[in-house]
Amino acid sequence: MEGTAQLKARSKRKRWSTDSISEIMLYAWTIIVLIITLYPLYFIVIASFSDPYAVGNGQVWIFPKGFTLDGYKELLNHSRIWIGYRNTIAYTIIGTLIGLAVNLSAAYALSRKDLFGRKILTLFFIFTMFFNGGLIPTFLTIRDFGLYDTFLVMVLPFAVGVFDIIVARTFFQNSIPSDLWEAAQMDGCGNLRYYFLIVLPLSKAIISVLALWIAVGHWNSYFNALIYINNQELYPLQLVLRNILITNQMQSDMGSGEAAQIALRLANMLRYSVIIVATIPIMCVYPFVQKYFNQGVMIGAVKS
Amino acid sequence: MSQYTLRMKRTAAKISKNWGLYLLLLPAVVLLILFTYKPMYGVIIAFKDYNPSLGITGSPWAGFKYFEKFFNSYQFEVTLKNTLYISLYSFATFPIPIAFAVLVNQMRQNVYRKFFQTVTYMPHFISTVVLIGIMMILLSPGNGLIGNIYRLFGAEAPNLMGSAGLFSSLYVWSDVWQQTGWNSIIYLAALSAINPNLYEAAKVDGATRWQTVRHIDLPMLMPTAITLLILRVGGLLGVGFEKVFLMQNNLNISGSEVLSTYVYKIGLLSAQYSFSSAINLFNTVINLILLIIVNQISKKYSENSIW
Amino acid sequence: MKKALLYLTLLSMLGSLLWGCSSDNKKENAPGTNAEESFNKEGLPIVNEPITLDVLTVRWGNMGDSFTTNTWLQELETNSNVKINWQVMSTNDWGEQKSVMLASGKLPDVIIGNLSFENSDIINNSSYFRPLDDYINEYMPNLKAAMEETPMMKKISTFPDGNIYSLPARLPSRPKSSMQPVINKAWLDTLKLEVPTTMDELYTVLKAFKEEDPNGNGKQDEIPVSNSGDIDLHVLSIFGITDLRGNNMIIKGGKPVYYPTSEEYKEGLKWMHKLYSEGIIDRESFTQDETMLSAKRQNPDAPLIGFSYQWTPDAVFGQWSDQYITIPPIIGPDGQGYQMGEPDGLSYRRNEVLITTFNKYPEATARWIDQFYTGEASIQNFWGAIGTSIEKSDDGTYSLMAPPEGTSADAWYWEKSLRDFGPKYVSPSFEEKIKLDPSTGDGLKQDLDKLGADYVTVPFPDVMYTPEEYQELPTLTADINSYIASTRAQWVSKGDIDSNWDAYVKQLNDMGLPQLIKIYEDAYERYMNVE
Repeated sequence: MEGTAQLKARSKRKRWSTDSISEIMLYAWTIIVLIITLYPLYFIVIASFSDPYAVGNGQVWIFPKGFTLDGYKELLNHSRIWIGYRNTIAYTIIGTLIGLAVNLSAAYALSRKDLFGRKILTLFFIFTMFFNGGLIPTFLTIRDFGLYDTFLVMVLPFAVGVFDIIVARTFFQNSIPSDLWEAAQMDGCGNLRYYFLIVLPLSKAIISVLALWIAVGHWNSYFNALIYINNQELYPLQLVLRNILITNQMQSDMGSGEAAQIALRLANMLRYSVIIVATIPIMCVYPFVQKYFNQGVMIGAVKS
Repeated sequence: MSQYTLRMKRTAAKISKNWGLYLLLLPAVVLLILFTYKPMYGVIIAFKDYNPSLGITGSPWAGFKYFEKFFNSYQFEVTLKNTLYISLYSFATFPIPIAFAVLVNQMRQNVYRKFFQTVTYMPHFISTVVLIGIMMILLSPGNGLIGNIYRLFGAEAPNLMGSAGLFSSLYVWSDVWQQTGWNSIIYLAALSAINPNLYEAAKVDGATRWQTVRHIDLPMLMPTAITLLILRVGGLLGVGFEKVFLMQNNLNISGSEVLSTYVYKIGLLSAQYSFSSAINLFNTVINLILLIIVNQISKKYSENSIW
Repeated sequence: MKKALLYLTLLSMLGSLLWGCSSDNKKENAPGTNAEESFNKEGLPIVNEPITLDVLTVRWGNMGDSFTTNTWLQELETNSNVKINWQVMSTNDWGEQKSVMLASGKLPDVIIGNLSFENSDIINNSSYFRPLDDYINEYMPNLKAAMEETPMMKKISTFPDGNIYSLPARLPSRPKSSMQPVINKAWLDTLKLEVPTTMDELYTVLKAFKEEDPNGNGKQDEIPVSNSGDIDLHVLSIFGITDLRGNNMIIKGGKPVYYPTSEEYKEGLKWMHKLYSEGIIDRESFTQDETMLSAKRQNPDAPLIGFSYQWTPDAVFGQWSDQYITIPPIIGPDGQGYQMGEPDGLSYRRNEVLITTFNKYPEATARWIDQFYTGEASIQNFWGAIGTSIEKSDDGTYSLMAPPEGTSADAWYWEKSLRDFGPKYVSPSFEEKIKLDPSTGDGLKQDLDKLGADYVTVPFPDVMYTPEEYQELPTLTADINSYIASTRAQWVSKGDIDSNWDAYVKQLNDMGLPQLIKIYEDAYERYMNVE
């Protein structure tokens, strides 16, 4: 009759071989993925320090060629970029707060099976994922509400993300057990208190994912600004960058040759340094968000 | 009391009991009514000869004229076929972020894992313009990476960017490279909600890594995965404009002309509001039908459904 | 109960839809409330009480509004009492913004620059724009005289319905030739070759470029001919195809001809296939983008490109510019040389100014615009004000001042003036007073123009189409042009044009080619019949 200790020891040995093989394979795979992912990113970094014509000719592989800091120096020359930065940070922070407030609460409400009219309300949301009036009527509506060319237009009218709501709703449905609500009700807790004091603290994972999605959406956005903003002081970063990087429309056959070439050279110079400067801030957000993933839900709370 | 009044009373009770929930819904509902439902009348542009100076209500009706024009055009079949092919191809890569998340979740919680996660989600932030630029440089048969590799073996590299047949593969796999890390975030978040006790119990029972994954991780991911899958179907015909447009050229056009680029080209000469509106509406209706079908299937075989 | 709720929901959705309809496009089409008491029919100021006009202009890329510092513009504002509120848009964003602006039912008072609204925008929305014929007659003596002196000005401004909605421009010191053949002279010298004059000589030279390492770096890295997106269609000018408008129409024997179904086009593509298969034409011509092409042209280690069509030889080659020279057009199989351009000079533009129906001061505006239509005003709006970019000497001639250190001339002019855009009229006689430095910029082009001037072909005119034609054109051209471009790519890269030619022509006919050609021919007739 083997004791528990010996049983454990034996199964431990068996597990050791298959487990460590799979662990080695796992890490081997991660190294391959890391190389494939890292190389183009590394390329962007060295390209941002290289002569753009060397880059275009495929001469840049491992080290920068024709080392130059011009790409970054030019950036400093464009004050509009810094205005864009300032605006985008503002839009992102406020837009994310508003977006979380609006979408998470709707998602929670829709996750409750005892919500009267649940099906119709869900359809109400889903319908808008498919049908919308198009650019012109939406523009007219924004204008009629006096939101044209304002800060608000970037953070409020389009704050509802039905995709985000559905995903969050799924999360609430599957990770918050219904017994918890019953237990809270018995303690005299109302819906709102329950939502703010119990559900939200348990949902750090989905809150961080949604926050990340919404924040990145704001950070990268330019189209709404293109249509609804006229005042250059309100331009977001991406719009400013687009104006610099997109030069393919200049025709050099009507005598504007030189100016077109200069614009092209500028675009080439800035192309890579711009990416570095525009995306580093938002990339730094992820590590903060990541730590909320590792918390897990305290389901055990229900049992007690 | 009549049956009817009784029912009304009960319904009112149900609503007032959960008044808090309706309050939570209110901001989203109001925003949607004001900014999405209110402009929805614009859908009728597809059925009118829209002229900006006449306005939407003032423009004359055109019935299905623009839909017919679209269906009868030479490009209809080609663009529809390419759009569907690229979409379905892309759709087939759906499991990749899931597998990625599962594997990452198996890594030990240390600096390397953090580094790995951060690096793999960075490609998402590269703008399309730059991504295509890099692709062109790497794939250039003249002096690109691929050219140099082939020359090592004494051969001449093929011009991959010029191949109509390879277009969808280049499009889809560059997407996979760019988006897998990012797309896996939601799955990692779902996995993080798994009670660690389950893992402990599994270990004690002598489960292998694979068994753990099969019986704990995957079921946990199912609801999220299915939801995302269904929503993805709802976007099927919407192959984005910018990336295709940048990758297109005259050599690969037979495999790279999709609905969105076709609409763009039509509008280049003179604004074709009604025509593009009709095509968009067509897109939307097809997407909606597909979504309904897939949702019904999901309802039947799993418990997950969007509504 | 549930049914009632459903009913209620649908009703409210419907309600919001109807509510939405009411906010649609309330046009403010108030036709000018005239503050005419202070208006002066002649002389300056134009109005005694200052007025403000909202003026929109669209500029390339990132150019911005620096041109508003132009001293001539500022003096005009002071002297005329007409204040200008400039709204400057970038071509990058304008496409979307234009749709929205048109739909919003309100436009600024004046639109300047031909990038802003196309012929089709004006024709399809003519109720937004004032017909200007009467204003020209009554309030615009400069323009009226210009139109009499140069009938082309009136011809290009007349819309299909007989009215003039937009005003033209005649730019100064413009050449007749557009893009001219440019070759690497240093390479010719190294290989001891003569400048090629005929097609066969060109072929021999290009082959030598490819094989004999003229850039002397020991590598066979020379690319005699390269391009991005497509082959360089200017090469087809060797075969008599000079498509200035880019709409596949040329004029041959005084008649409009659609060239993609012609023998010359077939022969041209065959020749280009020969060059392609021998590596003379860059294999990546179809797949590389502008960035990679310009990288090749300005390769840091050694020049790579042998032959191209450019505005001037220094346009795109960066540090290697000195090696390139412009040569006369290459003589083709029919013993003739052809140069793309305009025999009357590439000077004319239309749609440079529009006065919208939202403008409350059309008479004052017309007079304000007329100030631009003198020779001296025009050159200051092309290069920059006198004292900034132009120097006027005592004998009445004008010359250009050097741009500031570190700025290229062309970029400087774009910064200091409207440049290509806006109302201008520089008569041929006035042009003689402009003395340009022949070693650079516009002066250089004038000089090089002499090489191609005799060969310049009459181009298909800049015609306009009716609203009905604008309904048909987009789908026809999208389908047909796409097909032509893709077959061209196939034939140049893979050859085999003869066996596929008939099927190609049949396919084009099935796509509606006869209809398309008829539209072009009708538009041509209308244009030629304007008096």
